[in-house]
Amino acid sequence: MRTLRLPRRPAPRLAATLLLAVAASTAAASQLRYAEDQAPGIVNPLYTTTMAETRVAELVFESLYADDHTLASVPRLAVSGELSSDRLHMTVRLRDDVRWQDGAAFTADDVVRTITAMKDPASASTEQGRVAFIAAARAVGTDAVELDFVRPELRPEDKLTFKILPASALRTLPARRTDPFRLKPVGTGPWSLVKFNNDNSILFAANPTYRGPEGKDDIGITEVLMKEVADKNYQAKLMLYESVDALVRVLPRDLAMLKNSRKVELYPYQTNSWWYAGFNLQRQPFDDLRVRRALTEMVDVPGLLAPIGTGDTITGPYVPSSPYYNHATPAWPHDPGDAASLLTAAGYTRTGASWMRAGRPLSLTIVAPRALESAQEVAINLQSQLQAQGVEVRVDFLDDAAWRQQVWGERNFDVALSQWTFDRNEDIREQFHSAGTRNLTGLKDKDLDALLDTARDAADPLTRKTTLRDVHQRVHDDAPMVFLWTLDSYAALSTRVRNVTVHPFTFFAWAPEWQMQ
Amino acid sequence: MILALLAACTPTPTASGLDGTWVAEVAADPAAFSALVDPERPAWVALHAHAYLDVPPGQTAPGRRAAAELAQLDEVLAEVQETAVLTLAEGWATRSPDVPVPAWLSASALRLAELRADEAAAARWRPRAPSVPPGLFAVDQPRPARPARATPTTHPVLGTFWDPTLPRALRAPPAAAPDGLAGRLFGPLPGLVTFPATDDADACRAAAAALDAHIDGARLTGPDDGLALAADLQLLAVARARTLVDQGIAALRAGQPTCALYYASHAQDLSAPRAVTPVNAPALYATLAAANLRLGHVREALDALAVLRPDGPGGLSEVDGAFEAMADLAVQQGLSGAGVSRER
Repeated sequence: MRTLRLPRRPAPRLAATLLLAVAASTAAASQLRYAEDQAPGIVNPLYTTTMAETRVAELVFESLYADDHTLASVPRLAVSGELSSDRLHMTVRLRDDVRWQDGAAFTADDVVRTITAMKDPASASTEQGRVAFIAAARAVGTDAVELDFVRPELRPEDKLTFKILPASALRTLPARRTDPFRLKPVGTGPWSLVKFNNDNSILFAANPTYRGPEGKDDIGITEVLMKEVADKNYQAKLMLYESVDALVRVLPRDLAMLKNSRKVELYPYQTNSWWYAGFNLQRQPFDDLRVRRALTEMVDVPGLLAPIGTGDTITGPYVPSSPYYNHATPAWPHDPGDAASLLTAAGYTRTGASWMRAGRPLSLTIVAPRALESAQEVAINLQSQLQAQGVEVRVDFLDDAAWRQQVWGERNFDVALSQWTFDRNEDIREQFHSAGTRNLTGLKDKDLDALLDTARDAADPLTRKTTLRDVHQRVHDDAPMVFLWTLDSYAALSTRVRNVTVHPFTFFAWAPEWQMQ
Repeated sequence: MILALLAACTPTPTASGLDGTWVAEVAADPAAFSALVDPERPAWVALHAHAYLDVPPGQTAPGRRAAAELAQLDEVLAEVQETAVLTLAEGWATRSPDVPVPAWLSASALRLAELRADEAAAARWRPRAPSVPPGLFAVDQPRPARPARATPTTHPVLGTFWDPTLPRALRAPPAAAPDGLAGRLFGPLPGLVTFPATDDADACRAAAAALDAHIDGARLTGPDDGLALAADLQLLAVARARTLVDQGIAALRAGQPTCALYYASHAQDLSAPRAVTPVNAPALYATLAAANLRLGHVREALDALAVLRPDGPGGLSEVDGAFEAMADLAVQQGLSGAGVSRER
């Protein structure tokens, strides 16, 4: 006779490895410590570009309307909204019991100033697209705002979810990403920033003047500590041994290990994310569809995915569970033979180990954000795959500032390897419309623009769904990117944190209700 | 010191904790398991893998068990598709007031309201729904054979649409489970813990934790080949997951979606989070979808339902219609919204 037991606990050697870490980082009873791969450089919702920045902005700032637990828009800084019969104007009544964390009263001027700053092209706000539907905003006294819309809006409260900044931070326009406000933010939200620490952690403390929805002013967690843990492989171990209380994104390979711990709960989070390798269409030879297709067909996407975890490969700009994913769109095949034919048609000849045209080899540089989990592994493997087929490849890993400058500012790249994350609306217009503010590849396709316009203006769900499935096909055909995969994406929280519901996009939207046990 | 700490974290096993369960029975008497399974091994293998359509239908034990599994699955899928269609129809007037409700949608909403004996909803839809011939909907026809791949229905007035009554029509009437081990194999472990009767997240977490503690603290006893069999077939993990999923379905029936979501999530084996495996049954994903839908998290419901699409790992023909209904609802709920995107 023998005995069999379920293996549900981590191996003892991990305990030995991390015992010191546990002892060294005992947290205050009501402090939530969460890990990010890289600390956000700023806390300013006007210039939020990454999910890490989105999460800290959620701690400090609020919006006129926000999601309730059923993901319906409900008033937050607003009290009510009245829409005109032609749906072109709205009067938003504001709460009169809200104060900024510096003690000033929240007023209509704050709302108007925020919208003005976001819309000002000179401010170069990354959120400019979110207020494009607003033609004008006016304060009516201190507690109401009148909004004029560009076109009729049926439920504008669904769009009034951008964060509001104090007018005092926006006295001088245009706003700048480098304004001191980024390091000393003042919001109305449940937590306020206490300090940036030397170890790249950021400490937030409960805001004593916070006024929650429906009189829920109490905040269950008195401090939030964002800890930078650059080594993703280490994060799960810190979680298992209670050195952090939350991981916002668990490596797919760590999911089963954390799931088997009784001290950890996993929550689906940030599931509308997909990886890509985007070509710079404003540069030769990537302006040539045949070259893009050839490079796409050289890539063995499942082979790139296998080492980094589990997920689904994709054929276009949506994840397979999206309403807009076109399941009739086939993946470009991994077909080196066809790739060679396409390059030949584009004027290249294979000379020795390289593809050559006009005496120059086919070469490219792949840039990737240094902080993107697994990006180094993927980029190196991608380099290896392409080089084996006669393409000269260099790889550069960029920190956040260099990425903003080189990729978005100067458009100085051949291929950018990165990831997009979307909220539940999965709106890819900014990424693929000719006029999109986040059109990284520089794709310009009038037919695609027309489809995106039709989808934006659709008055019923069936039209939008079918149109965006056509968009999926069209973007696939344009091949501005090698569409790679979506990874299995979960957050982890300690079972010490109770009453948890995780917002699927912002993470901390409902955190004021969380309690530390 | 380290060993002392680790020992302190490990509960002391109870004497067995699983006495009388089918898992203990298989581990203790593998010969009895073989005697049951060997005559119909491919059918039992398919049942273990939740490949119900690969189990030959009929009055054999695995055939009856597969039919029961499909009936339970169709109950949840019917709930998903019908709720999605009704919510889509009810929301149309406020979300798309400038576009008439499609004829197929109003006709579907009326038929579903009637089937659910929701007289108030039926009264709302009766004046707006076009008249359709009797027997248009699958539920009004003789019970259909399960199609290899469902296709949309086309009607001259209603247009082309996914029949929202298909899962209800496919659902087989309940049949008695086989006696003995054949009726319990790969099933739940009833009675180990008491699950709460309220939709309280922390209470259902505590109940699930108690179940885990019980299983963790238990031990199987038996000959080497019995224990190897239990390990190879992941019998404890299968039984644990099945217990939680059944509890999730019970919670759905009792109007407790928060707990239903928790039980199904807690049951999921995340080493293969988007696959149907012996641990991750189709009913798990259907429960996740139904619970998310009830909680208003429609886009998240699609994530679960996608696993069961005919071209996905779950491979169920009737899911296409449920998926499309849920997709339409997800789009409707975001119709007025502004999308937000972030790098990484």
